[in-house]
Amino acid sequence: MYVDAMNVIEAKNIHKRYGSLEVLKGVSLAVKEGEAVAVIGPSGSGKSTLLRCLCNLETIDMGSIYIENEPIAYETGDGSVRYAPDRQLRKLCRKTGMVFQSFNLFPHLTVLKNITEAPIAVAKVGRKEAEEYALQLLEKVGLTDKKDTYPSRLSGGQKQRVAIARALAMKPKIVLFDEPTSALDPELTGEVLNVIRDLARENMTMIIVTHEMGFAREVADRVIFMDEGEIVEEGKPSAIFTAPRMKRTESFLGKVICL
Amino acid sequence: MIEYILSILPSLLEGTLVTLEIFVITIVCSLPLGLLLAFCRISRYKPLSNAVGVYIWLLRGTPLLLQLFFVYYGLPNFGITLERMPAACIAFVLNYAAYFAEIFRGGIQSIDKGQYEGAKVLGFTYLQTMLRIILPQSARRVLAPVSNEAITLVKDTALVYAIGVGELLRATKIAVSRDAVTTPFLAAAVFYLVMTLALTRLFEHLEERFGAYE
Ligand SMILES: Nc1ncnc2c1ncn2[C@@H]1O[C@H](COP(=O)(O)OP(=O)(O)OP(=O)(O)O)[C@@H](O)[C@H]1O
Ligand SMILES: [Mg+2]
Repeated sequence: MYVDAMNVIEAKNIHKRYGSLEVLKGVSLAVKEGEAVAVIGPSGSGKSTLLRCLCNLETIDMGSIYIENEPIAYETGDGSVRYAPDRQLRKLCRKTGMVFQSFNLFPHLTVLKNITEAPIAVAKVGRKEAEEYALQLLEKVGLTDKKDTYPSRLSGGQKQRVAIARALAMKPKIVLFDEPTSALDPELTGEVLNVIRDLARENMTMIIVTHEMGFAREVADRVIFMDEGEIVEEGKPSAIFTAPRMKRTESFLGKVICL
Repeated sequence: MIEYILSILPSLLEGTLVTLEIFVITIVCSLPLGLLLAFCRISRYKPLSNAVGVYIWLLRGTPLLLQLFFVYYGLPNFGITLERMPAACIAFVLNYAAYFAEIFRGGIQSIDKGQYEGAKVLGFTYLQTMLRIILPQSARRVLAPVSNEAITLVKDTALVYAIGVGELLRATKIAVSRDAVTTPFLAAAVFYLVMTLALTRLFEHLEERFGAYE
């Protein structure tokens, strides 16, 4: 299905350590245009760190990362990692949107301004155009009536939907979700998952780190299981969830499904 | 009584003008200088950060009166002779900038790191992040401590009396000595109270405006 599509993001053999703790031990992955990839795995396996490296919130110690075949970071001859120059780096990273577990909305700006701030200041879109697009996005996430509200007045589910609209406002080529529903009360996760489900239907390219196994199975084109800083197994959701090849995958799934 | 107060009023008002002048000059210069120092203090360039650290320690660690004396009586030994008023203003600006620097540093550092990350993934530069995201939120948090300092400053201006600047307290003291009455002290107290009350109101208003999003 995606054979001919371009790699939107590609990571090769990335390593990341914090002091003596090696959190990513050579992770490689490529995500094709239109693909939705779910990343699952136990707590501390390095899922967040992987996403943070992909959007340049963390620097990698080894390996390379490409966005639409242009390098963000690459290995030089002597094995050290070189990052693209600052301007180019920012330009490439703008193609990546990120949705955080903790929303990270700007509390001093209204919902509308949260969404238009970056298009206006960073992408240099005109205010009117930015606002029109923001309103379209708000409609998409079902929050048109909240446009002049401050984030402090929103529920967690509403906050996360605004955060998704804010990420989409920059017209990213890929959106990274780091456990978008983990900070939410159970009754609010549905509204956020619905928005992500709609994006998947529109063939938005996405990497979704999640503990919602049912959702991963339903929405993802491919599931990646990570453990201890490595990709242990990946494949179609039907294969991973019903017939995992690796013992570690099986025991992880056994545990979460018991929960 | 009323007549007497009216008779000293012009000189007290004149003194008040000088007090206000020192107050305004100090606020207008020390707030931006304080912000600049705060940025230096949190800079990753250690020599700069440490130098500002020492500056803040010196200026907060010694009496303002001593600094005032140093600028007015001490600097001439280094070939810098200043008039009373400029000397007073320089001492106040340097001193208050140190206090404001610490307040601003605290305000900036109190902002959650998620705000920086949220801004960074949207493509904001460091400068844009500061101006659009961090400082507006810090402003709300530093208002209360800045308000405290501003009120202290109104009263600290009385210290310049010690180098002979003709501000409110000095005008009061002259009237007291001349007329051998204590009424001028009470009148001066009222003047200070009116100034600090006005400031308190101003900051309450600002806090309301900046806090609209909470
Ligand atoms: N800034 C940091 N400094 C030191 N160690 C860190 C840092 N960030 C993460 N770690 C460590 O790296 C490991 C991987 O963390 P990471 O957050 O990527 O895991 P995760 O798979 O996202 O887990 P979870 O499901 O709990 O979110 C953990 O052991 C964590 O303690
Ligand atoms: Mg995580």
